This record gives sequence, structure tokens and C-alpha cells, in this order.
Amino acid sequence: MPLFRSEEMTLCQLFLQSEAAYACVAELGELGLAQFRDLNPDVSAFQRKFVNEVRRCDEMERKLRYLEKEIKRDDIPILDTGENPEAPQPREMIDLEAAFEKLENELREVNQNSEALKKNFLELTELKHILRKTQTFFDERESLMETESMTRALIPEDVTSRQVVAPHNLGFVAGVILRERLPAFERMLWRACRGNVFLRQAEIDAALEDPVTGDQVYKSVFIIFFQGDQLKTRVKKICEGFRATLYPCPETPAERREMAIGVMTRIEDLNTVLGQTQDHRHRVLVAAAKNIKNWFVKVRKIKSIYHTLNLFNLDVTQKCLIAECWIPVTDMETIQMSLRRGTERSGSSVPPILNRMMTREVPPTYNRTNKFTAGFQNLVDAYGVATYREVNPASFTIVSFPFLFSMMFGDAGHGLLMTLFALWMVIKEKPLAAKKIQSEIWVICFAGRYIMLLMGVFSIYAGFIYNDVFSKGVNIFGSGYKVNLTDEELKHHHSAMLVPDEANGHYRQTPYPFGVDPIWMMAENKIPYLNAYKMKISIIFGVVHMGFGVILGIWNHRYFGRSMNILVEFIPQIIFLVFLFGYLCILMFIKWTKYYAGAEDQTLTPGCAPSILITFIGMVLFKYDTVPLDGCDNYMYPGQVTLQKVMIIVAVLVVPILLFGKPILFKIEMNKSKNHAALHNQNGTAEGEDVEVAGVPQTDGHEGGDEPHEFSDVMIHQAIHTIEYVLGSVSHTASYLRLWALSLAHSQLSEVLWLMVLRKGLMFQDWYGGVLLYFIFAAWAALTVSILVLMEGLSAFLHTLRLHWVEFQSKFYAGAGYLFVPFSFENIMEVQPGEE
Amino acid sequence: MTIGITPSLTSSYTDCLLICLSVLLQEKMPFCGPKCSLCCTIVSIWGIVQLVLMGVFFYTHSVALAEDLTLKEHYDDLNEFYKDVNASYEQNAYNCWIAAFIYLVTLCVSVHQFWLNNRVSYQV
Repeated sequence: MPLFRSEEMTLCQLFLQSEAAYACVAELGELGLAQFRDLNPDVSAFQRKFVNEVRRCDEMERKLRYLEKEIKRDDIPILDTGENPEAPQPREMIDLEAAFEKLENELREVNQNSEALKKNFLELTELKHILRKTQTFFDERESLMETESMTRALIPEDVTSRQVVAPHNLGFVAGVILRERLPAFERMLWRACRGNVFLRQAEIDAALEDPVTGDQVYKSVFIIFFQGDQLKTRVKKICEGFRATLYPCPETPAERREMAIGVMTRIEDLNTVLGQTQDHRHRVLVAAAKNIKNWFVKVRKIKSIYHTLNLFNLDVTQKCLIAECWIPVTDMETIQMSLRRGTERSGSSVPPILNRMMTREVPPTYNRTNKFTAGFQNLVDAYGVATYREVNPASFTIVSFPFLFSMMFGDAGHGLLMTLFALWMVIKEKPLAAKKIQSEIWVICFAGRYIMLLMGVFSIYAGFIYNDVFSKGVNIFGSGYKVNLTDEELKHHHSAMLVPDEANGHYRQTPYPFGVDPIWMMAENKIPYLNAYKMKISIIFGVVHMGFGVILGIWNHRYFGRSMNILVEFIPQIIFLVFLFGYLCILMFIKWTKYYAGAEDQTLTPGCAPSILITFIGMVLFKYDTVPLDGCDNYMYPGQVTLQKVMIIVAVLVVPILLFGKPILFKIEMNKSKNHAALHNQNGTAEGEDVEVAGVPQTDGHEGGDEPHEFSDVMIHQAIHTIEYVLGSVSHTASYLRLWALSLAHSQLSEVLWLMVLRKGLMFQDWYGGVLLYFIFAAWAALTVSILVLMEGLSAFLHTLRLHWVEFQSKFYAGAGYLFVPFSFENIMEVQPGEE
Repeated sequence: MTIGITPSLTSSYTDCLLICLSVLLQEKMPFCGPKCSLCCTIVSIWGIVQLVLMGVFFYTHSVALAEDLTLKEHYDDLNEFYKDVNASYEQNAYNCWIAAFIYLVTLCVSVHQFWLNNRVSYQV
């Protein structure tokens, strides 16, 4: 049976020839059925055998990431065909490395070149602007010069000093500065040069591109006139400080014109070169984008193979690698075949050796699941991975989970919505999986699509049983009730009681064939009636679920060789459960069938039916002296008092058996083995005897090796287990009442939504009622989906999960195993994109 | 006077409506994004199915929907009560069908928007 227990695993030793090792591991990676153990746990990552190869892979990944960044920067779409290339051979790795190196160098060169070109371009553009703008400045200077020569004659005192100074000694520097810095620049100049310099500036209208950052910045042209060398150095220093770029500007207009023409031609040339550089870069990146996903996959596969090879041990002869791995026993043949394939591909002659090892270690738990069962297995594993070879609750969860969910969610309309959504996800599962949507909520939702589909289908069924479709009942078969009242009675009474006995004629004497009679939706006492029904079936299903859990323990006891446990654990447990809570369920069935309206014997009328809860409390407290109501009987069947007394006494008596049974057995076995050992020692030695003597005290007849070996441990463990079971059976049984509570909450919420929202749309009797209904329906639909389907669905899901994890699994499940994590390329590929 | 004015008013109103519709249908840019149009499509389909069914159930005087009728608090005459009940059932049925029809229009518009959205994304 596939999912009943986890697979049988065996520890194997694998001898691989060094040449064949890589190819064999690649084959095993594709297969994904072997979990390798780390044979060098003390060795650090830098001392392992294949650390160089791993480093090379890391380097390749770095180059690929750089390439990817550049491709994304240029907005080139990366093709993802979803193909799965094979792990390349080691010699291919060198080719890949060379290719990546070439690509990276080319890109870096192109980037550097284009940066230098852009800088050049910027300088030339600034020079162009300067040449244009400075024309006006020089014109002004000319006029200034003239005024100076005119004033010179008027100042006779400084004639001598003036004569030394030539009119054209007014030096200047021209440059470009960011617009924001200009006011501060001007102020600084004024202060530093004591007002002896003359600044003129003009804004550059076009924005220039900064070569480093690529931003568009606004700059201004400035020209500073000064006299003397000292001022020149000062001005130059201030320009450096404000990071203004200075350009050599010729004095005469003719020279300036020539320079301008030269600059224009150079700018045009640069433009063409820049364009060509960008084109080249684009072409390189487009070519790379086609293969980059492929390369990523290949490099990851290589890296993972070398990581795995690092876990192996090198043989003494240095010729072959030894590996230890866990593999499922049924897959030995497949693994042998893939190993043979790997050796053939690597061209090695020596076949790999795979032999089983006997070990006392606990193997990992491996459940072979398909896309349908994987979801349910995940639900079970989330609480605790099953102990090796223990009964796997997942296979039963496939049915019990949606069923218990539907009991809490029971509305056919909401179930239909859930089913349709899940159906869409299931039908479109391949395209949706290929989209690789990263939203976590979607990933969880999509992974549980089969669970959701089953939950929806079961909810539709439960909706028909509860007769609840968006809070309205459907009358498919014709109600069992009919109103047998005269017009006079209808006129004068506000409400009427329809008693279903034969005399009154309100009931057709045949029940509604399937589900709750639709008349109950119109009844005032709908809730008390449904409460009684739902509470009882919750308890019944709860006891059945828990009883099933206890029964599943039998298979665990038998498999692990603890057959005596069946006597001292299973029998007391089941007796306790059945005699107390099973009896409670029997009482419910008796009450349902025995009492009916219109019975001739008054003790059988519904008014006389005794309360089951009171009966149960009386049974436990041995209280049988309550006075019954008039004409009624406290007991449902003859001999009830004696039977109840016997049952409670037996149930109480099995508790000490549960408590002491196992420890006593343990003690007996310990004494027996001690006697055995003593006996063997007395009879002298024989071959293999030492082994036997050494072996016997260790084995307590238990496999797995995690059983306590001391009497006190066993006693404490059993005491805890007993208390847990006894108290748990009461609390867990009551816990199943949440099936009733949530279903009541759901039906009331949906009723309120109809009453308060949709009915408002139906209140208007004119034609505009239709238009209003259009808007109100949209609101009602939105609230239904968000509150009733999503919120209630999530809530019911959680409660069902809790019922499974705590109430059901505590009866038989140990959950102390660890998961089988095989070396599989599929798993690695799935994990990595998420990390990036 | 009023009789004379209202026909012209209504005719100008319908003209306005026709102009709006034609502009809308010729509109190449969708006013509703892909998510909005998908949502509207789904709600419209649900609305049509549920409202048609509800209309049918109201029309056939189903008892389950009796609490959704608009009735007076107290009736003295039984015939008056029956008359009110029948009228209310029929009016509710019509209202449901009117709303279903408006949802049909919404469905057409949102499917058109959805198609436009998909078409726009194909053109690079």
C-alpha cells in the first residue's frame, strides 16, 4: 500500500571511480532518489577536495549575475523556455568559463569606453557653449577697456604705475559650473579677491548628461576677468574648490570661431562613435539574453554536483570515492541503472559498486507522493514528520480532512464558489505553474488546489445535507410538512406549532428524503432544532475519528514488534473510549429512534426524552435518584442502570492496566534477559557467544533504538501517556463540538448577510428596485466572498487541521522522524529562484 | 407647455447617450485595467446566473423566499393578503430580472475591456 507507511529505506555504500564520479552523481541528481550523508563533517569548507571547482562555479555565477544586471539595465527581455539542460561534463565547464570570461571582459570594455566617450562628449559640449556665450562677455570687455583708457588721462598721480600696466593685461578664465553652485561661487570670489575680479555668467539652456551617474544636470557658463598673477592663482584655486571645469578660450574672435567649428565636427564624430558603441553593447547583450537562463541552470547543477562530491570520502588508494546514501529499497534497480548510465557516459570501465549496509541508525521518512497526495502529506508533515515506518495518517486525511471541513462550512453556494475556483486552478495548473508567480499567498493557495477542490465538493454535499444554499433552503423533493390550519386559525394566531403527529395532519408521515426538511428554514425554532442535531453528530463523528486513531495504533504495535502492547495499551484505550463515549453515541441513537410525536405511550413522546448529558453525568457520578417528570421515565431501556454501573466500573478499572501494564511487562522482560545472560555465562563459551551475550542486553525486543532502558523512564513515560489519554479523551470529545459551533456561526453569518444586505435590495417595489438590486448584489457578492468564503473558509480549515493534529494524531502518531531530502536537481532549481 | 418641452428634452438626452456610447465603443484605450475587468466579468456572470434563478424562484412563488417579500405588518382580509403576496412575488421577480439584464450589459462591457486589455499587451 503506497501511502500507508513510509517507504523502506536502506543505507548504501557507493564506490565510484574518480573519473566516473561526476557523471554518476549527475545521473543521481536527475533521478532525485538518494540522500547523501556528509562523510567529512569535521572538515571545513575550505579544506574539501573539490573546493577549487566550487570556487570556479561561484566565479561563473558572479559573471552571470553581472551579465543579468546589464541585461536588465537595458530592458532586454530574458527568454525563459523552461527547458532543463543536462549537467554539463567537466570539460564543458572550461568552455563555459571561457565564454563567460569573454563576455564579461567585452562588456566591461564597452562600458569603460562609453564612459570615457561620454566624458569627452560632455567636455566638448561645454566648450561649445562657452564659445557661444563668451562672445557677449568680450564685447563688454572691449567697452570696459575703452573707458579705462579714457579715465587714465584724468588721473595724473598714478600715471607711472598705470603706464607699466598694459591694457590687455586683463586676464580671464572661462569655465562651466553647476547652476546651484553659482551664487556661492560668486560670493566666495568677491570675498577672496576683495572685489577685484569681475564675473559674468550665462545659463546653458540644454541639460547635460553627467557621464558617471547618467543624470541630467543644468550648468552655467562663467567668465572671470582679473588683473595680475596672484589673482589668477586665487581664482583658479576657487574654481577647483567649486569643481568648475575651466576651458582654454582664445582671445580673438577669429580664433574663437575656428575653435567652434572644430568643436562641432568633433562632437558629431563622437556622437557617431557613441551610437555605434551602444549598438554593439546592445547586440552583445541580446545574444547573451537568449542563453542566460540555460547557463544559470547549468552552473547551478555543476555547483551542486561538486558540493555533493565534497561530501564523499576519498579511498586509501586515491582511486575511488566512497559515498554513503539513504535510498528507498524498491528503487535499488533504478539507481543501479542510472549509475551504469553515468559510468558509460564518462567512459570509465569500472562499474560502480552499490552495497547495502546494516545500521542501527533511524532512516529518514520517505513518502512517495504524487501531485494529488503531496498536499495532504504536507499538512501532516507540518506538525511532525512520521517516525520511520509508522502508519502515515496522510492517506486517511485525504477523506477525513475535507469531510470535517465540510461539516463546519456546510453551505452549498459557498462550496460551489470554492469548487469553481479550485477547479480553475487544477485545470490550468500547467500554465499557472509556468508563470512562477512569487506572491507567497498565491504559492500556498496553488499548492493546496487539490485540497481546496475536495473541500469544495464535500461542502456542496454538506450544504445539501444541511439544506443551506447562501442561507436559503431548497425544496427539491417536497417538504414532509404541510400546513393543516383553517383560515380562521391563520387570521387570529401570530404563530402556529406544527406537531408532526398523525392526528394533527401537519406531517405527511414520510420524512424528507435527503437532508434537512426545507420547512425548518422558515421555522422560529430552527436554531434549537439544528443545534441538537449538529451537536450530536459532532460528538458521533468525533468519537468515530478518535476510535479510528486508536485502532490505527494496532498496526504500529504489530509492525514494531510490540504485540504485547496491543493487550496492555490498545485494549484498555479502546474499552475506555467505547464504554464511555461510544456509549454516549449509542444513547444518542436510541434517543433519536425511540421517541416520536404522537406516540400513544406518554413515556415515548418527545417531551419525555431524557437529556443525554444529564444521563451521562449521572452515570459517572453514580447518581440515579433524580425524580422524573410527570408520566415520564428517566431511562431509555430496561437494565440501563446496571449496564451503566458495570460500564463505568470497567472503564475505571482499565485505567490502572493502562498505567502499569507496560512497565510491568518491561520489568519482566528485563529480568528474563538478565537470567538469560546469567545462564549463558554459566554454560561456558562458544563461538559467536560473545556476540550473543553482548547483543542480548541491548535489544529489548524493540527496534528503533530510542526506547528508554530504565524502569523509571518507562514508568514515567507510561504515566504521562495514561493521564494524557484519559483526560484527553474527555477534552477531545468536547473539542469536536467545534464542528457544531463553526457550522452555526457560518449559517448565521450568511443569514445575516442576506437579511441585512440583499433583502434591502428586494424591498423596493418599483422598477428602480431592479437598478438598486444591481448595486446591492455586487456588495453582497463582495462580502460573501471576502467574509464567508475566505475568512470562514480559512477559519474552518484551521480548526479541521487542529482536530487532525491534536485530537486524531495524539491517539497513535509519534511523529519523531526526519524527512528524506534527496539530492535532486528539481528541488535545487525550485529553491534557488526564490532566493534570488 | 411642459408637454412641448419634455419630448425635446428626452430627445437631447438620448442624443447625449448615443454620443457617449459611440465614443465608448470606439475607445481604443481601456478605462478598466486587466484585474478590474476580470473581476467585473466574474461578478457579472455570477450576478446573471444567481439573479435569473432568483427571479424564477420568485415568479414560481417559492416558499423559501417568502420572508423576502414586502408585506404590511397586519392584514384583516385574507384576499388582500394573497393579492399583496402575489404582487410582491411578481415585482421581486421582475426586479431580479432587471438587475440580471443590467449585469448582462456590464458583462458585455467588461468582456470588451478585458479583450482590449489583452490586445494592448500584445502590441509592444
